[in-house]
Amino acid sequence: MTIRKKLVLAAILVLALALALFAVAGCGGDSGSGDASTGASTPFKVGLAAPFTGDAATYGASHKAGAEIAMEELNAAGGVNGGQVSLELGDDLADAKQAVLVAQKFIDDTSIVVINGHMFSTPAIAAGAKYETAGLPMITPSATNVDITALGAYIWRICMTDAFQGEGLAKYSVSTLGKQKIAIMYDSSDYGRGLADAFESGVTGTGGTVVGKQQYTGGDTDFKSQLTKLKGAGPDLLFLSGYYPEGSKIAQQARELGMDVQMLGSDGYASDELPKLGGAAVEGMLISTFFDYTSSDPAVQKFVDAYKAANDGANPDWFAANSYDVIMLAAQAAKNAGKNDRTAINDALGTIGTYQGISGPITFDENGDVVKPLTIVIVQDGALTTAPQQPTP
Amino acid sequence: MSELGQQLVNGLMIGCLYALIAVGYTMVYGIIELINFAFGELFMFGAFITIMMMVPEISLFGNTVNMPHLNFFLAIIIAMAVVGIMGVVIERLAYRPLRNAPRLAALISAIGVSILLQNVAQAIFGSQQVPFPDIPLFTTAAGAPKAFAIGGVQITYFQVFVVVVTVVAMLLLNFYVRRTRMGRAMRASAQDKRTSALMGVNVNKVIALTFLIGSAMGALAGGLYGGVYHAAWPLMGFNPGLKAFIAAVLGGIGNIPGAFLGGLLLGIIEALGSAYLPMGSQYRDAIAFVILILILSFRPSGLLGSTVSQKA
Repeated sequence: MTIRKKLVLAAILVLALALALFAVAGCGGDSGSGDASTGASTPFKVGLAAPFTGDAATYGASHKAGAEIAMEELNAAGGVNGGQVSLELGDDLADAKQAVLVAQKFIDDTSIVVINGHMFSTPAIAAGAKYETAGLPMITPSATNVDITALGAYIWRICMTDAFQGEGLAKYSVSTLGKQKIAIMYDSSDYGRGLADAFESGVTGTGGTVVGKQQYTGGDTDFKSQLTKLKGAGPDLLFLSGYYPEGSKIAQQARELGMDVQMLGSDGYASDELPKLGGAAVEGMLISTFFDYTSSDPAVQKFVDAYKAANDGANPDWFAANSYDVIMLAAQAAKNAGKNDRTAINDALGTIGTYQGISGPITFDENGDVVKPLTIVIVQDGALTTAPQQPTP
Repeated sequence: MSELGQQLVNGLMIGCLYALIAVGYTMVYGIIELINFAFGELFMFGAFITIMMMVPEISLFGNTVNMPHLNFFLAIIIAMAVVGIMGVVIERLAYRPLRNAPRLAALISAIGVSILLQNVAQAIFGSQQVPFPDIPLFTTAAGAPKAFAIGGVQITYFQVFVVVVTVVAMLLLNFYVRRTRMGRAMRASAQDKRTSALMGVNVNKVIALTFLIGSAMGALAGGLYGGVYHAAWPLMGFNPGLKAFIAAVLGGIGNIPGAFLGGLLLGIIEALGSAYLPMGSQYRDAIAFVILILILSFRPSGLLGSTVSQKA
């Protein structure tokens, strides 16, 4: 064997390994708790679709933890229409290909009546098309890309869209904070890009200037090339559209490059993990969020207490809160319909009116989208607290 | 101009880290002609063990455990020792039994070890990113990185430290392999194991030592990488491992100065490519793989590798 042949063989193996990694991580797990229902009543089985392993596993963990609180609360009150609530996990790895496999598994399991997920826009779009065809209602707690609910009548969402958030944050940056020269750094996923585009057009529309726009790929660790370019443009605000694991590194690397600029993070940054990872570099960062766990609303505090008791005192993030809301909302729809059935639940969602969730009032528009108020938090002494300047409605 | 300078510094930094891992690849390949895919994972363990030694307590298997709270320099040396021994154990258990088997068997075993180590790390440390503690020597009291600027190019003290460590490690290693008895035994074993054994070289010992040194270099790279990017996570070794493999091929696999040069070049090409090619940041990883394909097509022995075909 010559060196060349060996190296070609090795190179092929490297590529095969890269593919294998995706495949290996792709096995979902079952952790459906809750026994089969007693008596004749149909169980209320929820398909929980999220990344439970891989790089985005921390979001899946929040999603599952929030759903479990809802399940326990409902079961303690006798279940839904007399049927026990149980959760069936589907690990989509935040990946479109894997999401389609999860969707097929859920669709084939006829005891599943509603899907709580998928969490991220790219897998939600891929899997949503399958649920729509199969007539299985999917309620996404956190996927924000505009196109998702356009898939059809079985697709619902209880967080605000990227278009609405982007526009709101642009108005907040220019009008409320008074920033004029704005730079954007975004994750090239459907979510990061969609939000960045909406933000950009919002900034231009409200009289600000976008002085630089750079993208990165999720999972990247080095952002200095992009930040160096943005630094040259001299922005007075840096908008970060993406998720906190990359965000903490972006903030740290910006400081290492000597960039001293106010940062505004999208809702993907709203996690207690951000200050843990980012340390001093993320102090003072403003972040958009959909759930404020310091709220005095008794329903919120009841959830926060139950969550903390079940999760070693950790505070719930908005992913957990929305996941809880999805199940409670679907349960309400099933109760209104009087039976645990896919189509009946979907019809009842359309006529549910205003449901008061812990993440805010949920009223669906004709697309299956909601409009909720935008909340801004700030990183202060290593924790997220309500920011002094809030967006004007 | 200062932007180009900054981009070069950015690339140099990544390049040094690639170079350190590439040395591990290149040494092991040089001696047993095995691409040790587990190097990325040894690198990851290097970062985690460095963190473990530096913090007062850490969560392992979901339980909080007290830790020695050492300084960075001591921590990284311990990490190098532990990971070096891990490398030797892996060689003994997963590669030595397959040394006379078809080469593919050993490669598959290496991939298996790599996936096993990733999963073990997830079980021990959890799937979340673990923050890397600030290093007081390189951090101001306010928690900001200590840095200076030359002509608008911002350089942190830690970056200077990483470059110095990389260069010193390469020089020492090259000296060791080129100028010492044990190094000669390594080179002899690389050329012909059977004849070396007849000349009185303990080939098993030489191979174990190669794994020890290569893995320790991986751990050093991991500890530094953790410091540069302020975190460690179970899948962190995958991408740098692939890049280091490319760096090793680029420089001429089996060649230590080649791995160093390959790492630096790859880091700089990546940084400049992602800054100046249209939509370059999107193709950052693709740039590296294009280089791999070009090198394999036009100069498979690499920049510094010998062009002589190896024994059958």
